[in-house]
Amino acid sequence: MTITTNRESDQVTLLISGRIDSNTSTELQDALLQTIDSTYNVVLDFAEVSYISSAGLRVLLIGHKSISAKAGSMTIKNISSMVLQVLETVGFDKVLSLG
Amino acid sequence: MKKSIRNKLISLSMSVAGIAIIVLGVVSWRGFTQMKDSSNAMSSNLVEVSAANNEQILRQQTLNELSNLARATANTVDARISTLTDQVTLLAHSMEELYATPNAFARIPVLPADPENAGVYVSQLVLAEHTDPEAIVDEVGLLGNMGVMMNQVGATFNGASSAYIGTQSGFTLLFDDRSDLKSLLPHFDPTVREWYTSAVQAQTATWSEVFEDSYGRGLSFTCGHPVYDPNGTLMAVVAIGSQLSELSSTISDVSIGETGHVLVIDSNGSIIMGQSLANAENGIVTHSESLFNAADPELVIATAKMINGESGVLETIIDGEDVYLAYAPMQSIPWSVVTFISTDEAMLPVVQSNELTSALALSAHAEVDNITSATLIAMIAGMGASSVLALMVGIYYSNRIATPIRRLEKGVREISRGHLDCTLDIQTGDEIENLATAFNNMTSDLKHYIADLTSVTAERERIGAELGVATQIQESMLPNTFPAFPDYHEFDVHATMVPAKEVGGDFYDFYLVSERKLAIVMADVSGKGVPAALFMVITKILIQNFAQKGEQPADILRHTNHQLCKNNRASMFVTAWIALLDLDTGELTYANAGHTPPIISQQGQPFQYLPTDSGFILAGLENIEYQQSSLTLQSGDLLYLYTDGVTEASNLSDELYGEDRLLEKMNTYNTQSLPHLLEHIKIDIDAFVGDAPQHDDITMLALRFGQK
Repeated sequence: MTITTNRESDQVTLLISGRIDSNTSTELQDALLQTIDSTYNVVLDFAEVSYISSAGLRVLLIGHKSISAKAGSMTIKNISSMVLQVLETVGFDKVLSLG
Repeated sequence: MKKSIRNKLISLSMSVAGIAIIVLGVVSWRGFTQMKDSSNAMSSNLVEVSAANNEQILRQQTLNELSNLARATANTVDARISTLTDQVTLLAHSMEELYATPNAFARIPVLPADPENAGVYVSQLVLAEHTDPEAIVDEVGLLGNMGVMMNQVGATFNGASSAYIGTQSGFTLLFDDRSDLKSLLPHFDPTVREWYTSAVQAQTATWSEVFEDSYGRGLSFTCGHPVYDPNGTLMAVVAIGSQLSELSSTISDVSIGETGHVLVIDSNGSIIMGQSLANAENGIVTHSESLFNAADPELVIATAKMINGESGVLETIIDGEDVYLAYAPMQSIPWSVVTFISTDEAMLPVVQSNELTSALALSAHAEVDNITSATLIAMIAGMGASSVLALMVGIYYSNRIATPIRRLEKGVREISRGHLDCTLDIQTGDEIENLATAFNNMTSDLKHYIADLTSVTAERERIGAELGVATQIQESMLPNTFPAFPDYHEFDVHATMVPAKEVGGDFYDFYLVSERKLAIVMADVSGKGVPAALFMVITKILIQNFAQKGEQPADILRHTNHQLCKNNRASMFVTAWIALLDLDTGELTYANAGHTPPIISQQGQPFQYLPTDSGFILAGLENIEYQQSSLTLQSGDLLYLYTDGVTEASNLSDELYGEDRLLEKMNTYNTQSLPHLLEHIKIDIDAFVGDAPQHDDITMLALRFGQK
């Protein structure tokens, strides 16, 4: 998994590429929390995410909690159908901002 | 056999020392040899040059001495002869006075020789055969006046053996002490004698050739002087005869070494006087021999020069012997003095000197040889000693270097055998000590590391053992006795869980919340290991707790979520699907918290996914409301619950087992008993996964409603 950070004015986009599983989730968590520290507007670009495990879901949950605590926003975009199915299964579509 | 460092070092030092010694040796040897050769050549050359030089000097000296001697001898003889010449001249003048004034003098008769007067100087008269005794009486008487003067000359002057007067008138007056000899020659004509004629011819004092004395007194020579009357008419010749023996005393005093000689030659080149000659008696040559007869042409040429009044030197041969020769003329008489000495004798000092020099040179050679030999021996000994020293130094330093390395090697062997307490005590102050220190540090680190590893391993084993126990506890918490409800015939339930390596977070559960109501739970805690297991236990208990209170599935989830969210700093979450089955009516009331929907087969239809509202996961966010659904099961209907460990089981190609495959297999084994159904699915999953490792727990639960 690789993460490319794209910073434009008040918004930071993390382009994530590869599998988000128990091996890579820690890296994503660190990157995400660091980004949230510095901005209110985070976009996770899931265009190149092929798989997300429960560990990855946990990172999204942590990210959601953190951004909510500082009244910011975190959006996940370009989600593949397979990943979207997982997110829907666990009910994240009801809580997280997907689009 | 491998070469040791020690041997290599010794070889190195020996090679360096050996090369240095050999080079030094060769250079020294060459130097010595050249010095020796040069020294010998020099001394040989010195001998030759010195000999040549000495010979040259000595030759010159000899010739100079011979010349000087010849000149001095000539002068000495000359002096004698010139005295006689002066005397003859004086006598001639006296006679001319008699002839000039005959009347002024008395007449003193002179008698013939009387042998009784021998030994006394007396005047004696000898007539020529043709002379008339009467005609000459007056002239004899006149000349008798010369008696006293003439006798004095003969008696006084050394070398003048006699004086005599010959007259043109034909008589001779002799003034000597040998009256006894005159009877041998009673008549004598003076005018035909050589001394007479030559004086007349010369018209002054002149010396005759050497001649045999008329009275047998040996070789003689005569200085004659003509006497004239006032008219210039020749009247007589006065002469002083001298025997060579009188002069020979002057040359017999001269000594020239052992082989040296002094000769006097006359104007014919004949030897008239000489020392120690074979043909000489008392220095007077009896058989006159001419140098013109000499074998050496050089000597013949030189003889001509002698007669010509010249002086000179030459090297020639006399009597077959090499000689140095010098000659010098006399002034008053055409004679020459010849001196010579054999070259052998003359050169004897040179020969001796050469012998001495050669001896010295030889001894110098020998000395140089000795010194060279001694030095070479010393050098060879020095080389030997140097080699031994180099060997010793080599061994010493090799030991100094190699010994610590050996100790190091030994120590390292010890360490490699596991003796980590072994420390290397090497203090060489160089890289070897550094290496030893590094080894000691390494050993120490290794010891600590092993100790740490041991304790960590022990800890891990302990944890592993505890995890094993935890897994057992977890498994034992799940209902695992089948058939689970042997007393109930209204339904059948079966479940399996195959945990991944560690304790996992999956769990299934089923229990009766009342006599006629069965609760079914399928849940999956995010993450693995002990935290997940603990979270799972809490979740299981909470759900059971709320279910036992008689709450509806949606409420159970809501309350459980609320409780789990209270202390969830780790942000763990749980997906759960729960249902309550009314055993009497078959009504199944269910709610979902983010879990995979179950598969259901109703009224003999193929399996399909049960449309379920996907509620939000448990423990994620507070205050989540869950939707609740229900359906009514008919007898034979089959419900299959599972976790994503089933659908997300992946093979080595990272392909997922998938929901479609699951559906197909479920339909295939639909009619099997529940244990068999689950077993087949598990076998199929295993077949699909192959050698890929199991990532997640595989948990399944099947429920069949209706009479068994």
